[in-house]
Amino acid sequence: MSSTTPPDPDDPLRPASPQEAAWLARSKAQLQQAPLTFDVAAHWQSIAARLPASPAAAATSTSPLPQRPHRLRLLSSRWSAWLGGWALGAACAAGVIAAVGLHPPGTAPASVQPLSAASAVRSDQVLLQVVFADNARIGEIRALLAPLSVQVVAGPGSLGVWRIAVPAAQARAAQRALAASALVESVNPVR
Amino acid sequence: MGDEDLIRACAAGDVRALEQLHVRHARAAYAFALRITGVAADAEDAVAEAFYELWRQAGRFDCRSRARTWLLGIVRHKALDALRRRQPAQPLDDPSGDDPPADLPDPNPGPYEQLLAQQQTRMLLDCLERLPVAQREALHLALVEALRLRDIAQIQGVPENTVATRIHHAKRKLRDCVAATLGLKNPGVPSDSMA
Repeated sequence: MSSTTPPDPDDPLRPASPQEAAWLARSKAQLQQAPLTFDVAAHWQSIAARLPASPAAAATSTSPLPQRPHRLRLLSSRWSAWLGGWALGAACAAGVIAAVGLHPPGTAPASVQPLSAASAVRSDQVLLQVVFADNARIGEIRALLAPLSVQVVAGPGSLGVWRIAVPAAQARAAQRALAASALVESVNPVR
Repeated sequence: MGDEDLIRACAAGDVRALEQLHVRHARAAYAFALRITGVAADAEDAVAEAFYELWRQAGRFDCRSRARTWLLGIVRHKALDALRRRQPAQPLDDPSGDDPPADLPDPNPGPYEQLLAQQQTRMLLDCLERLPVAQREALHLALVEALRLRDIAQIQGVPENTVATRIHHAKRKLRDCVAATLGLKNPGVPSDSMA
């Protein structure tokens, strides 16, 4: 005797027979168990990188320099400016002499440190070359890179080029996230 | 915290709430987007765009639908955009797909027993990909997401009758495609064209 259960009018599948219902159930199980190559964590990073920088991160890097006290501005009279200029010139000359003496041409002075420490890229990392927009602020760049698990390998260079290393498994997502940001002019893998 | 509360938190600027929604729904959203686009990279981009859109539009969620339904609707739009970019000349629906089903018994009631015994996941996925996009969407939402007719109609932006028709055609085409793949005899009356 056939089932007397009335069909559910809101059931979109509406199987016409128990056999069809069984086949649909089997098909559903197969589709739900089909492997999905989807890294949820890496995908989230690509989304998080596009969200606006937090107010805290923006404040620490964009705070204006403190104004000089008014009384110090009174010292910028003509004669004190001339005297200050002479003193500045003497100081620069002394600095050049010291630099050349301590560090002959061709050697990098030890006191000059790049913004980022150059380090080797591991085999499980991909190296990306990034050029940020001229108006990108350090705090914004920091907030953009923070969720991407990047290691700043070099930069910024004289042309504003950065080199960053990202985990190989997340390289594609990181590159997409950076390319989608208004702060980035270009991002390319380094071969 | 329920999904609706998380969306309200997103509207207030809470990124952690968006991340919670992502943990809960991204995988299902990706499966749906992949069903539409057929390309993993496009599906990933569509889902990322959808969550970013959710973040921007969270304040406009009116709780008339479930959060998942709302999100899947956004995912659908983004996935279809990606599909149109990749296949600009390809129609997204079968022109006959929205005709109401004839009120006649199925001339080919089987061979479900053989399908149950021999159907492989890969052939099922291949046959699913051959369906027109709108039918593929509707069947996925009904079968995999187990959504109700009214939710699917909301996502696709069509009446419930249209959804029912799309699913009706999709089921028959899928069954006949898998049966043909398996080389089963006596397919009966040919179903609608797969084109």
